[in-house]
Amino acid sequence: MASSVVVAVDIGTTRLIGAAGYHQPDGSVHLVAVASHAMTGLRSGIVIDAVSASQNLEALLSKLSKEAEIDISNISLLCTCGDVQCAPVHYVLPVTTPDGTVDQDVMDKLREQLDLNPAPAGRQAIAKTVERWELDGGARVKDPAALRTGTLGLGGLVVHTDLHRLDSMLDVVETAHVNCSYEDCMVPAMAAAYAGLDKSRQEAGALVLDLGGGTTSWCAYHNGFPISVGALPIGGDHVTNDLLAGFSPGSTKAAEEIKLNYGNAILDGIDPSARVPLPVELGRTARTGSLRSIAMVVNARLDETLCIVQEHLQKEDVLDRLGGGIVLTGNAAKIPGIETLVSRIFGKPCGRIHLETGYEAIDSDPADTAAVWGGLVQAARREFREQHMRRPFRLLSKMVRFFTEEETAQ
Amino acid sequence: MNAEAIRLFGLGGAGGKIVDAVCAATGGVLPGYALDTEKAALERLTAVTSLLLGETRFNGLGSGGDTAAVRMAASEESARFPALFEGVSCAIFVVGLGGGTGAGLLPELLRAAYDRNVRTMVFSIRPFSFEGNERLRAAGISAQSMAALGDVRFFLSNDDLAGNVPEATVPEAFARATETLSAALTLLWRLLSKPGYLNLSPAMLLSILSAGRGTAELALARGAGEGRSDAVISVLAANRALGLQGRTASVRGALCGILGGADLRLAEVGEMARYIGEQLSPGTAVHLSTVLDEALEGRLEVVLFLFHEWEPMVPDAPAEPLPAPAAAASAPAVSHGTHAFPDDAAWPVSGGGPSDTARELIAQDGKRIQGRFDQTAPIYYRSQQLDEPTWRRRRLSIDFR
Repeated sequence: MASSVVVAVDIGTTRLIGAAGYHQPDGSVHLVAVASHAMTGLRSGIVIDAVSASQNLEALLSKLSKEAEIDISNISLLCTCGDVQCAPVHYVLPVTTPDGTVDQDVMDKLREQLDLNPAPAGRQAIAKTVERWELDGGARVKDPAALRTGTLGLGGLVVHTDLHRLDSMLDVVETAHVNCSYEDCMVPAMAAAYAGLDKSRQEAGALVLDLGGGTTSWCAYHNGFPISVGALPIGGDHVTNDLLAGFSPGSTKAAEEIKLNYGNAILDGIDPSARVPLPVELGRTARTGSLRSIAMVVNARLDETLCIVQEHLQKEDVLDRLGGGIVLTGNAAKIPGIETLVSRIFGKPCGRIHLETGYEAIDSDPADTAAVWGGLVQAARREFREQHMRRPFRLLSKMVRFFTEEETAQ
Repeated sequence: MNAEAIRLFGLGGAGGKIVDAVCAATGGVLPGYALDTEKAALERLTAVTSLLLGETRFNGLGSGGDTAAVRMAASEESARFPALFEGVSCAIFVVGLGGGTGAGLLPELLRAAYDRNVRTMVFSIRPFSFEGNERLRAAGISAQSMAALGDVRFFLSNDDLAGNVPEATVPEAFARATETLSAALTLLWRLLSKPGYLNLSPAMLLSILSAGRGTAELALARGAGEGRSDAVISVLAANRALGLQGRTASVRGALCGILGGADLRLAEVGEMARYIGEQLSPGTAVHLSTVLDEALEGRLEVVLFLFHEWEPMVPDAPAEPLPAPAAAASAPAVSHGTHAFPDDAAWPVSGGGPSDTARELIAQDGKRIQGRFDQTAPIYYRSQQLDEPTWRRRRLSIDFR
C-alpha cells in the first residue's frame, strides 16, 4: 500500500521552507519537492500580522504544490512561537504479572500517563518524549519488555509552548487553506536533531543549537533521548537591529546586508584599521564602516544570547552530558566564527550540521533544511505507522458489523 | 561618593598578586579582592579578600588553562558576584592573560558590575616573552576575546612593565612588572584620596571614564632628588613602552597625575604639564591632577592614562533599573515540576509580565529601546530589556563613524 505524500513546513521569522515526501517500503523517506519563500508577519517567532503571514504561507504551499504535483490539505508545522519550554515527568507503576516480568500492558499504561499529562496552564504540549525506563527506581534500560522488576518507571519530557501564540499560528495555517492540529506541530530544533544527529551521537549526548532569525532554540540528546528542549525569542533579527541602531545605515535591509557581508562572531584576526563600504541607500552619501566595530556589535549580541542558553542548560545539568559536542543549524550558524564562539562559551567542540540524505536540495544547505527534513521524516513515519495500524481495526470493525447483521437478520 | 567606592579586583594568579601589592601599599585602605581557582595562590596573598571559585570543578588546583571551564564555573557561582559591587562606583580589574582563569572570570564579573551600573577599568597583562609559545598563544586568544570587555581597557605586557632589562633574574623581572603596575594603580588611588593643588574627585574620575570609554594606554615615570623633573621627562621621552614616545598620535583624552611630597614645587608641576601638553595633539582633552603625599617626600611621580576615544557625556540621571516583572503565575502540579528559563519571573510567560511602573517606562521609552521589536512584548532578563542593543547595554565603546 503506497504511503501518502506528507508536507512539513518550517515557519521561521524571516523564511518559510516546505518539503513534501513519502515513506518508502524500505523504511526510507523519499523527497518529492522542496520550496522556500520569504516570511513577513512574524517577529521573534510570534505572529504579529496574521494576514501577511498566511499570504506568505499560501504562496509557499502553492510553490510546493506545483513542484510536487500534489494538492496539499494537511501539513506538519515546525515553529517555536518564540517560547518553548520543557518539563520533566516521571511515573511509576507496580508490575503485577505473577513472575514480575514487565509486559506490554504496564508499558502501555505508563505511556498513556505520558500522553495524558497536560502542559501547565496557558501552555500547549507539542512533544512528549520518553527518556528512560527504570526498574525498581534504579537501573535505567532502553527496553524493559520481559525484564523482571517490582516497579516500572517512565521518565520523559513534555515540551510545551504558549497556547495563544500557537493558536494564532494555527489560525494562520487555517487561513492558508490547509489543516494542522496540535499533534502535527514540532519544535524545529528537535526535528533538526532528529535529522542531524546519528544514533551514536544521540547516545553520547549532543546539543543542536538552531540559531534562527527570530529565535534561538535547542535540543539536547543523551542516551538516545531528548533531555532538554527550549527556545528564546532572540535571534539573528536582534543582531540586525543592533547593527541598525549603531551604524544607522538607513534601513533594516541595509543592516541585514552588513550582517551577511561583513558580520563576524569573534574579533580574532580582524584588522582594527580595516574599513568596508556600507550599503548606500537612496539619497545618502557613500560611507565606510570599521570591520572591527561590526564584529564587536555582532559578537556582543551572539555572546549574550549564547550565554543565556548556556546558563539555562547548566541549571538543567545538561552540559556535562554532551559528550558528542554541539551542532549548529539555522541561518545565523553561517556567520563566520560562530563555531569558535560557541565552543568558547560552552567549552565543547562545535561544528555546523551536516546531512547526507542523497538529496542535493537538502544536503547543499543543511543549516536551512535540517529542521524541515527532520520534520518531514517524522511526519512520513508517523503517517506510515498510522496507515498500517488502521488495517487490523478496519478488519475488526468489518467482523463486528458481519455478526451484528447476522443477528439482526434472524 | 568617596575613594572607598573604588574597588580593585585581581583575577587569576597574576592579577591577585598585583592587587595584593596595591592594597598593601595603601595600608589596606583601598579594598581589594582576589579571585582565583587555585587555593595555594590565594593563600599567599595577605592584603586582599580572597575568593576561591570553581572548587567543585577544579578542587582548588587551578584551571589548567581551560578558560571555557572557568567561565562555566563563574556562571555557576555568579550569585556570589553582585555582593562584591555593593556601594561600588568604579571597579578596576587586573587580569593576567595566558593562564585561563582571568579571561574566564572577567565576563561574568563585568556582567554583575554592569547590572549595578558600575564603571569598569580593565588592565590585561600579556605574559613575558620567555614564558613560552603556548602561554603567549593562549594569552593572544584571551586578549582577542576580551578586546571589547570593560569601559576602559588597557593591554599591557610584562616585558614592558618590567622595563626590558635582560640582565634581571626571572624573579626580579616578575617583581619589577608587578611593582610597576601596582605603582600606577597606587598613584591613581593617591590622586583620589590625598589632597593636592588640583584634586581628582571620584565623581570626576567616573566622568573621565565615561568620556574615555575604549582602549587606553598607561604611561609612568618616576624621579627622585635634584633634577627629578628632568629624570621624569627623559623617561617619558625615551621609554617607548611606558613613556610618551610614539604613542600620542591617536590619543584624544588624558588624565595626568603629578605626585610629590611637601617639597613639590609649582614650577615642577608647570614644567610637567607643559611637556605633556606639547607631546599630545592639539585638541586633546587633558585633565590634570596633583597630589601632595608625605610618603613621596623628595620624589616626583607622574602617571598618565591616555584615552584613544573621548566623548564627554552630559551627566544624566542615575539609571534606575527597570523593576523586575511580576512573577509568572505558578503552574499547576506537573510531576516533578516545570523547567523554565533562568530568572524565570523575567520571561513574559502568560499570566506574568512587567509591572505597571515598568510598562509606563516602556511606553515612554519603548520605541528607543525596542526599535523594530515594538510590536511584541519586551523581553527581560536580569532586569535588562533584551530588545535594546547589547552593545548599548554593555556600554561598549564602538566607533560607528
